[in-house]
Amino acid sequence: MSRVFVTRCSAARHNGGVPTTLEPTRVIEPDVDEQVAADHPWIVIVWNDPVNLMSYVTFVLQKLFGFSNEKATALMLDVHHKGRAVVANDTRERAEMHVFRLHEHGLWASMEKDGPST
Amino acid sequence: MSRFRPPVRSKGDGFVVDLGTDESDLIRRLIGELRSMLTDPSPDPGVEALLVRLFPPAHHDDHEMEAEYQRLMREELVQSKLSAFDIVDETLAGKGRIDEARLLAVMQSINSIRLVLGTMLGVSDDPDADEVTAGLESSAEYHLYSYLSWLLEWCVRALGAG
Repeated sequence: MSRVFVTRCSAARHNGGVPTTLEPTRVIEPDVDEQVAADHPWIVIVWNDPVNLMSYVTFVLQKLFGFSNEKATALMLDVHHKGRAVVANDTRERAEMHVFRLHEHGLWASMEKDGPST
Repeated sequence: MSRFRPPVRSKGDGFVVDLGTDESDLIRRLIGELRSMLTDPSPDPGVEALLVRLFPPAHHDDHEMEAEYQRLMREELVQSKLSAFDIVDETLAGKGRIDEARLLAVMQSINSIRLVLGTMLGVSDDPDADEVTAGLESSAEYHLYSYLSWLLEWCVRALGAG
């Protein structure tokens, strides 16, 4: 699959996982599928789990996505009461990075394609 | 009786983690155990099952993508956790001020231990189920889990204020 993904992961390893616009270390020739995927937004979902503390989840959402305390709290409450909340909407690469960073914090996060591809 | 001082607090432009010797030793021992579990080249299935909350699935609806994600990212995640564990050891060995990045690593590591203990205890928020597996409410592991929750709250509070 994606050479882009590998290159981005390797770039991210050296800056604490922050998505950057660093030049890839080699020329990448994406195939058609990758271009299609990159054009369509993906959603990042945080799922309810019984171990992560509410205050911790709120803090992590603020820290990783720059949300206000009010917005992060509202998302955390959605996670808690509805079982899940969409916390980001992004390209596949960036969604993967968000999921990775949420996993670094121990949150139960996943990603899926937002709606049908047309 | 001395006045209560938060175990984690902001100080100047940084933070201090101020634990007693016994508490520090306990956390460093737990971190050491978790490090061994994560670096064991052939862990037994029981250990694998305890680590399940540390490696959540990224793709629920696509097995191929999920396999790809785990193949590419699991080792990254392990390395990230091991680096954070090293920072915990350094932080608890010294008494100096630490910056936000180091406190974030301490916070993540405390939560990693909680996630494993939570799995061990069968923690649930199902209103029809017990909070932990029956019989474990008074176990040492449950008290440890509660203590680490308390410590994590103080990390969040300090970082939120800092």
